[in-house]
Amino acid sequence: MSSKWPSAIASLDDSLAALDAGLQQMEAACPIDLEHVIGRLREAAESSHKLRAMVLSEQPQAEWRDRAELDVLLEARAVLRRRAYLLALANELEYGKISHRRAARVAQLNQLREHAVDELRGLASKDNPLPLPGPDAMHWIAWASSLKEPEDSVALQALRADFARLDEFVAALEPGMWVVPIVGAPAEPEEPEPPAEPVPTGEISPQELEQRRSRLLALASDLERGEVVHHRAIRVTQVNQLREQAIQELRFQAVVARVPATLPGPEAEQWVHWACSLKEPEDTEALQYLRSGFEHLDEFVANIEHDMWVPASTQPAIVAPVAPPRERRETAAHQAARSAPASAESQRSESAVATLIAPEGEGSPAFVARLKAALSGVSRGKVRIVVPTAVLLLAVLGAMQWRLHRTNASTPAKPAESVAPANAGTIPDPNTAAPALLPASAAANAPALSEKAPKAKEVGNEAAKPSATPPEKQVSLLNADSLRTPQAMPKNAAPARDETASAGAVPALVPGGVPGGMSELVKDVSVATPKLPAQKIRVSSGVAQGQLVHQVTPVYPPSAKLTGIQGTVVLQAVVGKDGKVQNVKVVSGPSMLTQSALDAVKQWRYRPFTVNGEPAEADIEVNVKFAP
Amino acid sequence: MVSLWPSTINSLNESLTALHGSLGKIKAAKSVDVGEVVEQLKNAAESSRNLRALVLAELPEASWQNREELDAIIDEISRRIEARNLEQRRFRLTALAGQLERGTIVHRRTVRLNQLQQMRDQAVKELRSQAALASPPVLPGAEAEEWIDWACKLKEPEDSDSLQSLRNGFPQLDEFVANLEPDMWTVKKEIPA
Repeated sequence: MSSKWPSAIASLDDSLAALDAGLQQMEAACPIDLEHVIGRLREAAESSHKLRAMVLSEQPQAEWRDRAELDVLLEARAVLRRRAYLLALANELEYGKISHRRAARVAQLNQLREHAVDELRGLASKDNPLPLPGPDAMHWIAWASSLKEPEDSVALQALRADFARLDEFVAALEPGMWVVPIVGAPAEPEEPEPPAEPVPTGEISPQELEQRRSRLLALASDLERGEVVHHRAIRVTQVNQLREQAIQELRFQAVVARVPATLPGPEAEQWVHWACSLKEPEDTEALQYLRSGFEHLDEFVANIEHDMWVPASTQPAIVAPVAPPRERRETAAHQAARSAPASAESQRSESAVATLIAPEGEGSPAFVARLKAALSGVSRGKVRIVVPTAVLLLAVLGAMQWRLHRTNASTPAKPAESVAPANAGTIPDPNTAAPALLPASAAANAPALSEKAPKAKEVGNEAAKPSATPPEKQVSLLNADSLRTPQAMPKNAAPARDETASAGAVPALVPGGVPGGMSELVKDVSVATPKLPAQKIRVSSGVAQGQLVHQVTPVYPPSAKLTGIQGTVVLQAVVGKDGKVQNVKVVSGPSMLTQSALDAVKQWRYRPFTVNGEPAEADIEVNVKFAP
Repeated sequence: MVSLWPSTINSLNESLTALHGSLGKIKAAKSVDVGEVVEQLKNAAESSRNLRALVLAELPEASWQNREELDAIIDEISRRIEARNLEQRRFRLTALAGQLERGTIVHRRTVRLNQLQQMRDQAVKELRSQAALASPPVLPGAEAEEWIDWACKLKEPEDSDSLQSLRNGFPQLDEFVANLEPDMWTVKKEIPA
């Protein structure tokens, strides 16, 4: 009955408005349909009578003299109703459960839910709570989850403007994820503790490393070309941000990491589909592996559903994961040409990269293609990739210069000009051609990828001669506008000796090449690169929840319990490399509850967070909820 | 008919005021006697019809859509009526002046006759000068042909108001009729052309 108040008021006002039109005609001495006006008058009187009866039925003692006083009465009641509505929805949110195949995602959504609940209760405690759009509390989640843009822009805008946390929660929630438990239903079993993180051990062959890198780059490319679809623009934006972080993470692992982590799962084309189908606890091992090695990628796939991901069409990837050396080189060259960014600026930057980095040797276009794949984020305006990429680029150049300098110092000098004429007009041996994904020197250095190691060594002998070019000439070569690719292997090339190289390492094949190949180059890069901010990382609460191995339940202070004080204490802490919680600070929460929360969280233990396989400190946020 | 204007407009305004009072109660969900409110509505509608009829009688071609436009039309009609009233006043003054000129004074004594003739001339002159004013004063009494008879029958204190009005607005005319007895005044009948 209470819900009929607004309609009764609206009905009365409508009748009066219609009557007022007739009265104005009357006042102007214009012709009117008197019976019609009398009918309106009777309707208004009837609505008035009903409204009066409603008010008096709820508040028999209510008195008012005019409409202004009645409005005050009605507004006070509306405030109570709005408050009750917000509290009812908060209770409904607390009562329901979130169902998802991934525990981390459940934890994330639970956190969002808690924020939404806190927001609703906070708004309900205000003098004049804002009206919440939508149906009653029981049907609210279903309604909110079905809102679409642009059809429901008005409702969404109202929700977003006044209930940002609630909006964030429902934007992240899919209809199938929300389950309202039936009263009396048995409690869900506790989720089993995930097994310990697998630790990669043993020596890894260069071929294996290269395969790992190829897979990572292929997946990065695939992620980049796919599309996230969702009925809420904000959710698309969120997931796209996660995607970008995942791509960045994959490329970082592929290009920079000394030993890139193994990506579990199938090839790039099927990977997202596979990852989306992982469930806990069935696939805990794979998920744990993914989480520990590819935190952002894990977060990305935890946030998307099957139907939210539209994979790339049949368009070939920029980087082919596995192919024979010759095919790979061709593929990479063609794809590099095909996938070259449209903007002249990005083409110029790639050209500059090729000029600066690629030595005169086979495989240079492929290396450019690989770098281009890594740098494609830059050309598309992904600024966050620019800084680390630039640092890496400088590090690579520094390492190459250093190598050159060392090679020059240990090899007899010989004019560089003698190399190009000797090679002119000859056809390259496909067996000695470097893999498309590596610079020539690195390709030659990888025995698994280049089965013709002896030939490569010969090439290296010949090519090593120009590497003894005096430093001044080296500079001019590196600055040349166009680089010349050797067309044939010199027959009488002498092996270059690098005293610093390991016994099994292959020397540089071409002038400017890096003895030891790409692996060595990357090794140097990792040495030359300053420690990245991986020393201390920021971890989402969902990911942190997944790493929690020991949890002490906080004590609900009896005084707070007696006085009905409840709520969530938000803490910030640092998880040390040993998994211990340090520097716990209170962000927010009822003062009577903070100490108990602090005492408990300080005893928590996490599985150490790792970056590139090394333990790292992590900033986390912990929400400790107190409810009677 | 002219006197109906203010009363009709006032009637409409009063009935609408009463009606709005009742509607205010309805709007506030207070108790009202619906039958009484309907009666107020009917009264207002009747006043509205009357006003409309008056306006259309004065200006048959008039049309309006709301109260503002109606008020503008009523202002125009009021101006026309005022002009017509002024013309009527002027006409009465000049008509009476002509009547005085056409009449004949009879008295047994010549000196008295001359005095009265002189007074009549001054009264005629006064009437004409007053008629020439932009806003001629209102001449109390009957129409020109019966005016002398009416004025000669005025008595104090019974007709003090009319006499006072006459004395204030037309002192020469008042002096003339104060000296004139009914049997001293004869008027030749005008022969229609």
